[in-house]
This record gives sequence, C-alpha cells and structure tokens, in this order.
Amino acid sequence: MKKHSPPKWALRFLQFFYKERYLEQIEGDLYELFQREGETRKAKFHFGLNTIRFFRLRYLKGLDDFEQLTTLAMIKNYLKVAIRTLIKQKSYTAINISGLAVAIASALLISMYIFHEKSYDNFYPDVDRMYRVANGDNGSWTPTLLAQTIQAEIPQTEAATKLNGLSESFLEVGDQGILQDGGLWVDENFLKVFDIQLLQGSLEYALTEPDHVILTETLAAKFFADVAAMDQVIEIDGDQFKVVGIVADPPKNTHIPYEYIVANPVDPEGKYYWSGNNTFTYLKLKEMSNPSDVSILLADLYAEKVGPDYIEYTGHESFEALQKEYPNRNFAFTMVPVLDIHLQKPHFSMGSQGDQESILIFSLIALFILLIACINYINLSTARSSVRSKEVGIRKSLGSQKKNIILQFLTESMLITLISVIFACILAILSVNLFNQLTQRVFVSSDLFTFESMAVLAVLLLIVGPLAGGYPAYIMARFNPIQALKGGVAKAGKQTFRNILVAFQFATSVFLIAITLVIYFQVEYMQSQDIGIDISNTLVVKNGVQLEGKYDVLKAELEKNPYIKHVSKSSNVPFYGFPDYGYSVPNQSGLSFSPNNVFMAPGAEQVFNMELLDGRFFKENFVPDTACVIVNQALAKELGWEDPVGKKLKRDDKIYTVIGLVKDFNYSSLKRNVDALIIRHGSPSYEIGIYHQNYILVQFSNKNLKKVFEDVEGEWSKVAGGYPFEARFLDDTFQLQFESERRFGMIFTTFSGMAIFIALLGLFALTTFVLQKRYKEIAVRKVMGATISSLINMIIKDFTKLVLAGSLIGIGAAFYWLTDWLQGYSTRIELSWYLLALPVLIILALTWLVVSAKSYKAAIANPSKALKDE
Amino acid sequence: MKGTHLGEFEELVLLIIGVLYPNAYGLAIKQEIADQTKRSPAIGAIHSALSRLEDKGFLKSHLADATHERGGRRKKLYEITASGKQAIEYNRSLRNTLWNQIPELAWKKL
Repeated sequence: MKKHSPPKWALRFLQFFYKERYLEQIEGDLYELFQREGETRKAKFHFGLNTIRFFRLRYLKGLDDFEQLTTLAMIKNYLKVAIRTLIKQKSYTAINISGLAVAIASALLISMYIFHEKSYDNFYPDVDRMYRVANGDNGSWTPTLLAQTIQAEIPQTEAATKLNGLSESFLEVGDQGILQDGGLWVDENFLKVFDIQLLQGSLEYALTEPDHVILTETLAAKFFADVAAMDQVIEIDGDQFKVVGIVADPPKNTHIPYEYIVANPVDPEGKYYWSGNNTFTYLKLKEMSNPSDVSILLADLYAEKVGPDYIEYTGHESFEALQKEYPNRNFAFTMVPVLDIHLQKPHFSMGSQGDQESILIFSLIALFILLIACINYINLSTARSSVRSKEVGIRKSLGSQKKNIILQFLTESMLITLISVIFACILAILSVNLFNQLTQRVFVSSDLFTFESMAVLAVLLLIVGPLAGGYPAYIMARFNPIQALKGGVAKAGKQTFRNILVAFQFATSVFLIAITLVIYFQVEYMQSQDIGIDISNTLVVKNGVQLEGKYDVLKAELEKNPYIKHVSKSSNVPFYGFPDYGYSVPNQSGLSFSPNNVFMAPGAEQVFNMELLDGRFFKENFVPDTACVIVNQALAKELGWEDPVGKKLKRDDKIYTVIGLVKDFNYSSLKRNVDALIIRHGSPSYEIGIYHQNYILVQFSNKNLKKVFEDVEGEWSKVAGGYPFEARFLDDTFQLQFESERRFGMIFTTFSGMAIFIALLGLFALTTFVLQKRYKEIAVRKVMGATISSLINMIIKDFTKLVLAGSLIGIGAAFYWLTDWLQGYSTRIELSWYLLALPVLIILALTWLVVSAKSYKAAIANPSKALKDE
Repeated sequence: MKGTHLGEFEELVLLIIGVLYPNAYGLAIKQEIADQTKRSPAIGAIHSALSRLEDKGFLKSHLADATHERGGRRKKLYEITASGKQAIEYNRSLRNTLWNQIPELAWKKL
C-alpha cells in the first residue's frame, strides 16, 4: 500500500497560526496519530481534520509572535515608548492634552454649528428649483396678485404661492384657548411649492376652502389629545376653521418654522393693487428650466404691472424715466434661491436668522484656538527636546534612522491628539447647552455625532497630530548623536522660531480681548445714549384691537389709578419698527418720498415726553386733526423746510397739514441715524383701519413693576372679553435691539477666555522649562549676591518682550477690524488709545502673574541644593 | 472559585495522568481514555484540557526526547502537582460525603 505523508498545507497552517510553545506538542501528537493509523489516506484526512479542530484562541499567535513583520513591531514599540513618555511627564502631558482638548471641543461644536447653518432648507427634494420672489433686490413684501399672475403668465412655473406670517393668533377649541404663534397663512399652492406631505388628510382637498387649517402633529396633540384632530373645528381669532390635514413638525433647519397652516386664498371679489405689497411670494420652476430666463420675465412683469401705478404716483413720464432717475434701485421682481435665504438673505427668514459673517468668525476662532493649542505643543516639545536628546542619541547610535526618530515623535503627538479628541468629545457634550445660548440654536448632544462631525474629528486628528508633532520631530531627528550623547550641547530647535510662535499666541489673545472689550463698551455706550424720548416706566399692551371700542373704558379705569400718569395708544412702538408710507409734496412739483409713518392718539406725546419744537400736538376729540401731521427734524431737513409748520403733504389724494415739529428721537435702532418720520392722528377712519389702536401705552410712576403689570392685566381682563393679556415694558424692547451685539460679545468673551486659558497653560509650562534649564545659573547668580526681585526681573524681561511684540500685531489687527465693525453704528465710541492699551495690560498682567509665581519659587530656593550635585 | 474548579472532563484527564505515570502525554492520554471509558475525545480537546489544567497549576510537565514516530518532535510528559492532587481529593471527598448522606430509604424505592 502506498505510504501517505501528512498534508503539507496542514503543517503550514499550524506553523502560521499557532504559537511556538504549543506547536511542538500539537505536531508531535498529530504525527504519532498519523503513524498509528498506518499512514493511510484516511490518516492523512484525519491529520488535516484534527489540524482544523485544534483551532482555538489560546493557541493563536498574537501580535507579539509576528516577529518577522518589523514595521508592526516598530509601531508597537513606538506606542509603548510614547505611552511611557507621556506617563513619565505627567504635568506636561496634562497641559498639552487639556489645551488640545479645549481647542478640539470648540472646533467640534463650531463645525456642528456651521454644518447646521449650511443645512437650512436642504431637506426639500426640489430645493434647487425653489425661489423666493423679492421686490427689487431685497424687498420681502410683494403684491398679493403676484403669485397667481406668475402661475398664469410664466410658463416655466410649476407652482407659485403667496404666504403671510408667521403670525400669532388666539386659538380656541371648546373652552381651551391659547395665544399661539407660528401661524402661516397660505393659498393651496403652498403644498405643491414646498412638497408638503400630509400625515392625515387629502393633498387635493386641503386648503381649497377659506375655512381650512392644517395643524402640525405637536399642535394637534396639544388641542386634541383625546379625539382625532381631523375634521374638528378650531377657532382662530374668532373665526371657525376646519382641520383638514395633519403635517409632521417642520425640521429644525427650516426658515419657515410653522405650527399651523391656515387657508388664505385670494378673494376673487377683492380689490388688490399692484402698488400694495402685502405678501411673500414663492415659486417653484419646472425641471430643466433656466432661472435666468425667468428672471427676465419677472422683470418684464414688474414693468408691465407695477410700472404704471408707480409712475402715476411719482409723476414720472414713463417707467424708463423713473429707472433713469434712480439708477441704483432695481425696479423688478427678482428670484432668491430658497437655499440662500437663511445665510445670505436672513431678513427673508421667518424663523431663526443666519449670519454669513458669524460663520466666518466662528471658523476663524476655531482655527485660531486650534493653532494656539498646536503652538503649545510645538513649543513645549521643542523646548523639552534637550531633555530627550540622550534618548535620541542612543537610538541613533543603535541604528535608528531619521525616519524612525520622526515616527517615534509623531506617534507621541498622534497619541496625545487621540486622547485629546476623546476628552474633547466629553467636553463638547457637557457644553452643548452653553453653546446653545451663544448661538440661539437648539442643539442636543446627539447632533455632535453626525457623520459630518465624525469626519471633522477624523480630519482634525489627521491634521492636528502631524501639525503639532511635525516640527519637533524634525528638530529631534536632526540631532547629531555624538553631541546629543555628550549632553546639553544639542540645540533645542531655533529659539527665534519658538519666540515667533509665542508672540503669535499673545497676538491672538490680545486681538480677541480687544474685540471683546470694544463690543462691551459699544453696547454700554449705546444703552446710555439719550434717545430723545422717555421710554422708561412705560408698559406697552399688545392686541389693543381686541378691545373693540372699549379702549375708552380701559383708559378711564386705568387713569383712576393714582400711579398711572398717562394712557394713550399708537399704531407702532419705537424699536419694534415703523413702516414707511409714500407721500408727495404738492408745492414742490410733486416731489415724492417715503418717510416712516406712525399713528398716535393725543396724549402719546406725554407718554413719550416728546419735545415739541414748534406748533402743537393733536388735541383730544378734535376731528380736523385727522388731516394733520406732526413731523420730525430729519423730515424737515430732508425736504429742505426751514419752517415746517403749515406745510402740506399729499397721500392718496388727501392733503395733510403739518401742525407740529418734534425734536428728532431714535425709534428704530442706534445703528442707524434718525430717519424722516411722520406722526399722524390715530382716528377710526377707514385708511388707518384698526391698527391705530393696536398698542396701548401706559406710563406709570411705580417702582414695583410686577404690581403695575398685574394691575393693568386686571383692568384688561375686565373689558377684553377673555382675550389674553400680552404686554412688555418698553425699555425691555429697547434692550432687545442689543441682543445680537450681546451675543456677539458673549461669543468673543467665551472663546477669548479659552484662547487665553490655552496660551497661559503654554506659558506656564514654558516658564517651568526655562527655569529648569537655568536652574544652576540662578543658583550661581544668587550666590554672587543677586536679589530675588532681580532674578524674577531677569526671567520676566524675556517674556515681556515677547508679549509686547505679539501685542503690537494683535492690536494692529484688532484696530483694523474694529474700525470696520464700528462703521456699522451711527452712534459709536471712539477707538481711543486706552481701549487698545487695556488688552495689552491685561495680557501683560496675566503673563507677569504666571511667570513671576513660577520664578519666585525658583528664586527663593536654596542655591546649595542646585549646586551640590555635579 | 473559578481558579480551582475541576470540570468533569478535566477530572478525568487528571486521573488518567495519574494512571499513566510517568508516561502521560497527549496521545497516550487520549488512548487511555478511549480504552477505559469507551469515549473518544478529539486530540484537540485533550490538549486544551491539558493547557487549562497546567494554567490552574494542577499539572507540571517536562519535555522528553524526540522520537521518530513523532516526526522528530519531543513529547511533553505531564505529572500531577500537589494542588492537582488536592483538587481531585476534594472532588472525591465531596462525592463521598454526599454519597453517605443519601438515606437508605432513597434506594429502597428503586
């Protein structure tokens, strides 16, 4: 019988996978078994089978056993040495990791914010075909007829819709009623343009009748917890609507965060003017159509429809003549891609507004903080390189090449970065809430761990590690082994390079502090401005229109209260925005202009304590006053009137006589100069409609704001027929306009705090190192009679030079940027020298504190200790 | 007491090593188990039981000379250690104690 031999593959398999120390026994037994079974084909088969059956975890070779793969072994060795080094230099590692972790955490949060901001409205499947129609280049409001005219006359249109909102209404179901904002008033095409999917209800039927309403899931659950919401009746501001659909809540990143969608079709019998701009218009183009063709059609539409009305009103001969006279104005409807609204045209947004600039600023801040943290690493490791020169020397003399040394040090920096990334994630999760306050968004910690953020982390890991570790590794690899082994001779990188990096850190810190300070002072300055009217102790009650004529009752009741001084009403409130109305001047050959316009009842001048320069204010119950107006100085100046009282203004064929001139007061924003203003008499005439009494102004003299609020609320509820009371103190509204600056300031305070923290960490470690290096020198100086203060001075002097050099650059950059920023404010502070000197002093003080604390310890040490060992 | 616990198969292997003294090695143990118990364990199972027992300190081993039938590989001969003995003795006494506690009555019914 032919003798078989054990299968070769099985032996190779055994030798490859199984550990040396088990191998001999396994092979031996298998051989013996093979022999006993008579070296037959069957025995051979058993040999193979048993080989596989030996496959157990404990026999398998680990990484240690692949000795032939030297790269793997080297990487293992690099890691091992890196871990040991990091553990050995605990404080140095802690400083590096905490700096990098803070920096990476900020970068992570900021990248989350940027991704979110850029993602606005990208969830609409056809968003690249969706446009907002703007009036001119930037006008949000368009004529009511525009949407249906586009639908009928522009062939590339798939659907066009008009919408209004988001508004606040009083929603009532049974006896449950609340003031609910987020109301969107639309025609039925809205569903087509925005691809709205109904969870319940029919897309064909929904919004076709004027009494239809669609609720979001959340709102439906709020009102109809127990019953199905569909086909229920809900009262909106007193009118009955039927629920015809339920939609999912819109995503967080929408520019229209609606809560309920109310049918608001164009009334076929209604009278609409092309000159009146009352709605927003959106349009979706058909696939493959060219937007620039549509732009031309839209411009033509404007010339055709709006043009005639416009020139009739301005008195120009033709539309072309009008365009010629105002070459800077775009007389056309234009298209703004829906994707651009959030960031580039935020005033078109109905929800939280984006800010292109803040994205840029955030990115720069993240970059700076990362750089500062990387510089810390570079400085500390190059400074420490002399400590490790012996290690490098031994490695080199044992055969390490440059490549190996570089890899060793890169492994260390990668390891530090990796640990920092882990800490950064924890840090980021913990600070999501703080970050939400800074950005006015509602992130949750799970938003941090999206695919994009993870990609950012991976990129950061791959960039920060080599960026921070690259230069030190390069420096170390160049050491001459003989010099390195002799000790101390090896140069620890270029001193100048390190100095430049430290100076850069201080430049960044000073830059950020300067900006923080100037923002703070600017806001303070604006708040302390005399705006020309008295806005303190004034309560503004909203929804005055709900009183339906019982205003006089409320006023009489309120005025009985001894601490209520004046009660009046107006169509708009300062700092909430006044609308502009077009007027012409009959005596000046039809000159037309658009001043801001507000309706006020008699008595409002007392509430606001307006200063009348000439003429008089409106009289109570004096009908002729409805044809009279009061103007401000800015208007008189714009029209070139020396003596405005008695002059005439014209609007809609009505002539208004100027009866008074008020001193300019600020009513919109301290960022702007005071614009021309017309104050008209709030009368119940048709033109003014119900708006003239929408805000009730109550001036009081009582320090107890809570009591004032409650008293006024009490009177309101007696006459308002159950309509909820909503009021706000006027100075709170005034403060609101500084909201964005405050946020801006908060962002800079937070991040400059971080930047300074990281920079000081680095400074601390660097000082420690410098002192270590000059340990003996200090001792010798002390023995020779140097005083403690002279020793501290010596150390501080070097750092002071660096701080001053860095500050110079930082201040320069801050000055440049701040001059530009302050241009945006008509009321602004001067960039005086002390505002720019202060950040330098702060940084200098912090530096001295850190450095002298550290050097004091070295200076008071007993010199004999330093000198005895040699 | 995970460290000192003896599984049924481990106990068997331990006892067989005692029986085979001083010539207990992997294949011999397999053969002996097959002869005495009519069980036919895989050689791999024997090896892993041996490794486990050695890890627990119940066995010591030394290498014998290489032989031709083993393809030039050496045998690894196993002996029971003191703690190995303690472990099987514990198992034995535990079994005896329990055995003695069974009342006569329990057998009567069989």
